Amino acid sequence: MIGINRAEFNKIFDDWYIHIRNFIYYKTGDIEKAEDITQDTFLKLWEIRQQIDQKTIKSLLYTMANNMYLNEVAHSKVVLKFESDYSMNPYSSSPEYEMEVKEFDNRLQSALNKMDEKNRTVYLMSRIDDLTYQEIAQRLGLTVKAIEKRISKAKAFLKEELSVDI
Amino acid sequence: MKETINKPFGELDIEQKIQICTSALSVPQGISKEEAFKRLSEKIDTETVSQPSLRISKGKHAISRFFYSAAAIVVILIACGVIMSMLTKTVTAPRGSHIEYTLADGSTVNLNSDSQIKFKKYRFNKNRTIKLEGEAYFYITSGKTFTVNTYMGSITVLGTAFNVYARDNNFSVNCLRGKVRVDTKDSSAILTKDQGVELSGNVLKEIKEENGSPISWIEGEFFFENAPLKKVIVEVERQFNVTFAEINNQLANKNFTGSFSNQSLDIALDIICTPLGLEYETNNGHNIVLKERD
Repeated sequence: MIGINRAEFNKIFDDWYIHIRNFIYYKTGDIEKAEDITQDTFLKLWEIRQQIDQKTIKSLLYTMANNMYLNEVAHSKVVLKFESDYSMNPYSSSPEYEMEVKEFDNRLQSALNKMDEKNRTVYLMSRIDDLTYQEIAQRLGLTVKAIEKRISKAKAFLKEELSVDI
Repeated sequence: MKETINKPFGELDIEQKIQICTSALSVPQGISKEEAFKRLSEKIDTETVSQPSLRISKGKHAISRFFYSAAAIVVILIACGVIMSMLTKTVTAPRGSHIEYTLADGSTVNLNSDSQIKFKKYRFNKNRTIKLEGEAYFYITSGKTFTVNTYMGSITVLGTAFNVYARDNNFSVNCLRGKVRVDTKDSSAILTKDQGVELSGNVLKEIKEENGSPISWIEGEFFFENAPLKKVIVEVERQFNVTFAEINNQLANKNFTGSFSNQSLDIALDIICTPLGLEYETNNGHNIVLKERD
């Protein structure tokens, strides 16, 4: 069936808002920009609702969001800032441990900033959103092989950046 | 992660460190999904663009993708443009500050504290209409008719300068240059240079001799002639962003003549209190209590 109504649209928003926002966030490193682009993506989706095929909605959303991102912010500098929560870790009570982790975390953040945008996005979709390679491949319209390749590139990059002692 | 937690962090190998640190990563909170949905709904509901007839090709080949994205960009730009242009611009001077704002046609508006103007940005030069709450001084460049609407009356002009005061149930207009027309529900008046009217009941009455210029507030001077103490207090509250404790009836009956400046709260309070035989106390820095001097 082609075309969606308002209720279906609301459902799609509910299901996909966070995913799309995170996806753009991994690219831009700017949560407000990510929110704006996500708004525009859904606004655009609403405009073209008559032509939408529900079955392809997933990859359509990601493609639209990516285009929107390329259009708007491709040239601005990425400064990612993730929030880290180590409270789950048994060592977090020791100040020494916290300092070491913090120091490492800073280096990790700057390594992520330096990483190629495509590899970073896929890597973070897997690490933060906990998506399987297959799921990521489906969303981005890529093969599982390509995802594996990007993730291993990301891992190798991090390892190289972080193993250098300062 | 379990197998890594038995050792101090420093002794872990690099992959384990990366594993620990990346599993603690999260995305900043940002606005909630509900808030995002609200904002989106507002945009969708105000959307007035007719549906563009866009064809989405389901083909995966490069050319259709290119056309699709190009068209998507165009549609977004048009939609954003239309929505943006419909947007109403609001300029607000909060309590304790004044704002000077230049409109698209070159006219300037000086907003007194706790005042607000609203207007449609789209083709402002063709339709110079502004909604005002509070007090403002307008210096209008010549051009199409310029209209200021308040909830008590409206002012229509060509090129001129005038001051409007529309607060609570007080409405007054002073013309400083050129000619203005003032309309309320039941009456209207045409003002020329140095004339002023205020709304008294349902009719506009001429303001006799003003004590000080009607736009002395732009310089931070506030003149009162035989004004109820309440009116003076409200102005002090606005200019210094402070609050007064409720005054009793005896004080409310007092009238004040004089002026204060918005430079110093203490001096302003002295100027108001001394001639009326009052003294003031400030509690918690922001709540001012007035009482009769013993």
